[in-house]
Amino acid sequence: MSESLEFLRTLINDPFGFLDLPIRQMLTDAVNWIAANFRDFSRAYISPPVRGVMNGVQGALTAVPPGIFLVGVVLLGWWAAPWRTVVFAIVSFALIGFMGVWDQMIITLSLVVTAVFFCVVFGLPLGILSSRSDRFYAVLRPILDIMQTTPPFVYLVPAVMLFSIGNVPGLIATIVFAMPPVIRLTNLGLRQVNSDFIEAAVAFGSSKSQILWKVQFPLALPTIMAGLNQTIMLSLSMVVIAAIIGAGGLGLEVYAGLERLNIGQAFVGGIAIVLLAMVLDRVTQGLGEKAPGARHKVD
Amino acid sequence: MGLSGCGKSTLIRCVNRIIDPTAGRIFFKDPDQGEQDITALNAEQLRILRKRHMSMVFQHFALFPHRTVLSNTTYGVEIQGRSADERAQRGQEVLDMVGLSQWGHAYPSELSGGMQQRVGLARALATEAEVLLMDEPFSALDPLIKVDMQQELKKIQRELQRTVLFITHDLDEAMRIGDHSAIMEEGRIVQIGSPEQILVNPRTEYVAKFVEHADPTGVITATAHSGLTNRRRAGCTRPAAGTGRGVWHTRWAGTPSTVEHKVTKA
Repeated sequence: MSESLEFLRTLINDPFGFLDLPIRQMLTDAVNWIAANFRDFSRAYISPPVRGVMNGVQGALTAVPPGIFLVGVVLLGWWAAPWRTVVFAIVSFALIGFMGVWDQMIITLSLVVTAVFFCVVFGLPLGILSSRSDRFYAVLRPILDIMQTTPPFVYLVPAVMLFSIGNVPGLIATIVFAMPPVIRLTNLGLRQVNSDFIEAAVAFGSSKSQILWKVQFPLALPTIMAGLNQTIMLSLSMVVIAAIIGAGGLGLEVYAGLERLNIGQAFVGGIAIVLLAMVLDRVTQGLGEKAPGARHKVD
Repeated sequence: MGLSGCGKSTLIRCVNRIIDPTAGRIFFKDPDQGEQDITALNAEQLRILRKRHMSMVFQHFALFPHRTVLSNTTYGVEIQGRSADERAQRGQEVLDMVGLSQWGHAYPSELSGGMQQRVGLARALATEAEVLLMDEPFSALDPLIKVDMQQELKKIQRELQRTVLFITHDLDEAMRIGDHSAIMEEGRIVQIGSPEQILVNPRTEYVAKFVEHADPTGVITATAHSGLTNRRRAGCTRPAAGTGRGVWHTRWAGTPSTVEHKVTKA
């Protein structure tokens, strides 16, 4: 009698004591196994293209003298964004230059550009596939949830195990972390296109790819640009965190400043990141509003 | 014609197979290949049919908002794979035809409803398809514009002589434009014939009710000797008691001076 009472008490107070799930060990083993078996593959086939694009972008951006860069910003802004955004961009970039972190900003910018490039190259086709197949999206969705919600610090470790340290593993972690919005919003944008327009395209004998590129894609473009905007913002935040595993740029400035308790250095890096983020955000939003499909909103 | 929900739009979409019919067959006389059964076409043949031989006008216009009026107009021609020069020329031709020569560079959102549907019509005419499918094209327009558009369509039709399959729930519209009308009820065609035949000789109670308030102006042409007895013989009687309360104020065409007749049913 008292024995069963005792049992009941443990059941109420500590119902989890009966089973010790060795999940921690299992995950460690799994990651170790992946690292051991795929390290060669990932370093031979995944790192080189990422490094190649990164070096290309970085080379191009560093080759441009800061003065020319500013002129380029004015021209791009002129075409894409309202004049207030142009002024804001110029002031921000000038401030970054005056704070003495121009070179770091260029490195961060090239990391972001590289990450976004890969996010679009993989994310857009995945988004298109998702919009066409419910089953495909049903499989992809939980994966996207995991990619987006796992705290970034967590997959820095596997990134290091697979790709060693430096800019490349930082970029890979960034690409994984920042890709979901492009996929999700491409899928959403394409699905939201009014079926009347698709019917009209079908009635005139359009093929599937003609419907996609002549009708659906342009009409979905504002939504896709919103996804791109989010991806850029996520990349920027992740590129900064990736300083922990040896990525360079403004993130390193912040990280180094914190390590040495050099508050000024850390803050300068932080302010530069904020300014860069705001400029990128405004410019890509301007591009989204300029997209041909944005006329749809007038209707 | 028929009331909403009777299957008109479904029927017209069966003709170009946007909706696949579950039963029956549809024949089309292709000028190149002779008679073919549309229900037996494969996807590729179907696209060719839609590209070259059938075009469509929609109730809510369905103009592509990201394209200019001209580029909307030439959409079908673009799908046909014609050169840019040819497209621009053809586009301008049909825009002239519908009276929108000056609007090529505007966007659909800048146009009024009536003008938008002119673009819809121009887009359908541009491909030079032999068959024009029109799904309640004027229903979303206000009454005055609607009559304008009907006249416009008749004018264009006199020139081009296409086969037009025109869906409407508006009886007067059907009477005004149709040479051959079919009335639908719950997915079936209940009567088919000229507007005059349908008006004068409704075959079921449903049709009779439907045409009860029709304006027969310009539909019924009476000849000089058409006395009451002749009309009776022609079948100008209401089918069932109780439904025949209507009074027709008819201006008979064909008499020297327009005389108002009152035909009252006992």
